[in-house]
Amino acid sequence: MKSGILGLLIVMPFIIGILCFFLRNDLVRRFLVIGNALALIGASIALAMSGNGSFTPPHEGINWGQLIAIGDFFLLAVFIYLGIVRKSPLIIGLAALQTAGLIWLEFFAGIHGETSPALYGDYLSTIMVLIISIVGSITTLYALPYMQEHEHHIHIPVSKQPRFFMYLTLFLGAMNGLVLSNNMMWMYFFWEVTTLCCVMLIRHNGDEEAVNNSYRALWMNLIGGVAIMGGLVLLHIQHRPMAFQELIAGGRYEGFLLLPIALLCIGGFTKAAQMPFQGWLLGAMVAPTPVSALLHSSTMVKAGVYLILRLAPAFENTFVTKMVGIIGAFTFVAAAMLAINQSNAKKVLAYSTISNLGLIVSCAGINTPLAISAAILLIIFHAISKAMLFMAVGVVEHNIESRDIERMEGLLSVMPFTVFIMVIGILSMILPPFGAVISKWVSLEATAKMPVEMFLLVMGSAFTVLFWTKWIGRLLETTPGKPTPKMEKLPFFYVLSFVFLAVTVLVLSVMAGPLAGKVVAPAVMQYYPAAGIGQAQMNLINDAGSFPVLSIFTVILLAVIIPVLYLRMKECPGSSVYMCGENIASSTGTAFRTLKDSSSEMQLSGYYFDHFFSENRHIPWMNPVAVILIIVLIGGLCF
Amino acid sequence: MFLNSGNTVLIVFMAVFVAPLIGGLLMGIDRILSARLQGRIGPPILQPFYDMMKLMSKKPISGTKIQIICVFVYLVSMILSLVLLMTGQDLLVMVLVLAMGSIFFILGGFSVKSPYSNIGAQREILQVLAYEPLIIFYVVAIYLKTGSFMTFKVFELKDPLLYSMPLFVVALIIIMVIKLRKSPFDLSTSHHAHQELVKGITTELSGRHLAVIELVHMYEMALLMVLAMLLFATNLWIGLALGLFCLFATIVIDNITARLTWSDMLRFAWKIGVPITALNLAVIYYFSIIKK
Repeated sequence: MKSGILGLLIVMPFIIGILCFFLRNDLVRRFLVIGNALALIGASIALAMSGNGSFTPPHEGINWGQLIAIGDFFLLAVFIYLGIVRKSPLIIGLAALQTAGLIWLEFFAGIHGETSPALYGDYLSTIMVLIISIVGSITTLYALPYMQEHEHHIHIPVSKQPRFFMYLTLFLGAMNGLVLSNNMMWMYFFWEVTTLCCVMLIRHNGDEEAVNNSYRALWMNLIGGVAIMGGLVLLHIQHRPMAFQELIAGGRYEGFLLLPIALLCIGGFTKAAQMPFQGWLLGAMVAPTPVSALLHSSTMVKAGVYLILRLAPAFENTFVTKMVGIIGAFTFVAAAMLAINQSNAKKVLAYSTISNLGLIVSCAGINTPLAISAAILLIIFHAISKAMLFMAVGVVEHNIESRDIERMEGLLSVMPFTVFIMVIGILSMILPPFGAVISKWVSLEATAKMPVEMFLLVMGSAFTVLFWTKWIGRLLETTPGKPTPKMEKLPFFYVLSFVFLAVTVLVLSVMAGPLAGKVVAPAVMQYYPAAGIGQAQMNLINDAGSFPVLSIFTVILLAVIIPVLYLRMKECPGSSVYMCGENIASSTGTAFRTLKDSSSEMQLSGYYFDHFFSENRHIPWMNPVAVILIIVLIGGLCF
Repeated sequence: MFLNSGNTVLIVFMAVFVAPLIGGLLMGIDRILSARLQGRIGPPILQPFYDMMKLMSKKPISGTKIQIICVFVYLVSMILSLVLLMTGQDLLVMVLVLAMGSIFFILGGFSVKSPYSNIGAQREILQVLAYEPLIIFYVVAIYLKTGSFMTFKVFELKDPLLYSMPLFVVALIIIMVIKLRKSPFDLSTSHHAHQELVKGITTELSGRHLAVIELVHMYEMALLMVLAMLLFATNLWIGLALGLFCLFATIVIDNITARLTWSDMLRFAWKIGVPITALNLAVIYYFSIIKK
């Protein structure tokens, strides 16, 4: 790996972030963010072209290891400070625990002088870097017009954008560093940087709710930090390498030797918002939309699943893998179930993210080559679709001043372009031959031999279809006979992000076969004897089945295009809807005659199944079950 | 009948053109049987086709353009899943394509701001929610027996699947009752006059667009038959008899029960249907994995 590319991917965003903070000029910031995005996209593609490799920064000049250690202490000091400001013993305690571990590692255990490369880029890291740098950069571009509108909406006197864009770009650099780190101390540093950025971005608006939620995100993620620090300390006590490649290559572990790996996985659960740690991600929706788009799609939560996926070869065929599979599958079905009852669009998206992450974690836990392939495919497609959906919701929110799905009734005739993007985003999550569903197909075929996971996955998939379909239903609702709506005007960067992501998801879905064969399979083959997945021409195949991507795509495309052309040729006469013949002519076209011949407007609303799926009914048992599963994971290794 | 190198074209032809005729005839038989059960003589067996011709001749008036697009996608998905099934393709892909059709049908119902259509669409989602797990369990059970998701592998088995999957006959009947929207679960739309939702999800469709829905039903009928025939692939005539038995049971249930609510349907499908299939699955798991 070339140091130049790595510098662009990891160090440059840090520098640009700091520049964004100090150069408080709108135009300059605009150039900085655009330049950062272009450079990141270019560098990530260059990294993908240059192939796998490792890199250790030279020791002359700067001692990077020490710099990282100083950074660690600085971050922990910030967390402790935040804890003191909040007067929260929990936060102080968690941060202090990590500090103690760090002091021991740095000053007493003597971890330096290791020979392993600090950075290592393999296929998996490269895929992650591409997602972070491309989807993440697009999100920062989207944030440019969004934050201007946002500050206009909430009326603040002094712009807080410099701070905002600093954390946003820092985030991307830290994520790139995280996925490229081979040295776990480096990974830990970048991990804590993402925690800090996340907390700062959540509290960006500064109101009480934002501050409260940011502290919740802080302590939940600090639990993950403690788990990781614990894992690192244990690794050192057991005289084992604190580097991913060596750890994975070290062969199979059992019993107590698995404990540090299990602890690292728990760290992954907190970032990936697996139950019972889902609270912080739900709270994160108070932040401006670009933050959600970033946290949910290409960064933060993906760091969690990345870590678990990275470690998966080290716990193959062990007790850990069984528990990880079940914990993920449980989160998948539980979060999907809770999403049904939500009418807040961002909350639905948040639960959907948690649920999808659960599926990815579950695939990592099933830990067959096919399942790992499914997990990687899911990471790719989920990132694109989710970014698109959050961005669309953000635009809608600025226009209708609400994120309530019920308020989005018939939005198609108000904002056709945005709604079109939103519908594509949702359909790309639930319909074949879109990538997310192809991935889900792979994961279902991968779990078919694991009764518990399979059962949970099937149930979860059914719930998933339910809440997404309900949502699109609300968007499309139109009164017959209304004139065709005009396209709304949107800022350039909105259109750019929308079109780019929609085209990407479409192209990647059609190319799912080659994507699996040329990108995912090599990533899996690096650590497993087989890939379990491959391509046959344009089709996606595995040992047990085949997905004829291209033929399904062609047929469905024709099925949409032919009626569209037919309808264009022939205007269909609109009729008023059937209301037992009691319709009254009105401007809305939906009034009917009711008691005493008076007129009433017809109103429709969605089903939310309070009695079946409400949070109040299910959270009280779901969280304890999730806690018990994690205790079993740890307990099973100790005894 | 199923995939051998040369006759794929023939199979596709059968799936696209012959299957709806058979499905239509089955619908005609359904009408006559129901009539007899109710003490009526009933229509001629070709009545479903006459109905379609009549609908085709009507002037097309439809609610929204989106609904018309959705209806066509519904039709194409249904045909596509039948083709996938009959050409021996991946069963799980078939189920996903089938679900896609249903989703478009539902979206079509939602796309018109109409009370009946809207409630029908909401209920149709629940119908899908109720039968979807059962179909996937059926597919997984077949996978555990054949070691593959490809349908054509079923025909390489020595023993018919029925011997190891007897409880799935019950599951198939439950699937048919819900999928064909028969009483007591004719919630989203119904052929009977006693529908409190008028025509539910199809209320706003008329003329040739409604005819498309009828055509989809014909394909749907054929698809369910083929799905049932997989249980006895060693002798497809017995398989067909099995399918017809399930259909007959469905028609009888249709005529002796009154409509329940959607929550009853979910409870029934998930508290009775799912455990039954899970029990059968557990036995298969036990013999196929643990014994090895």
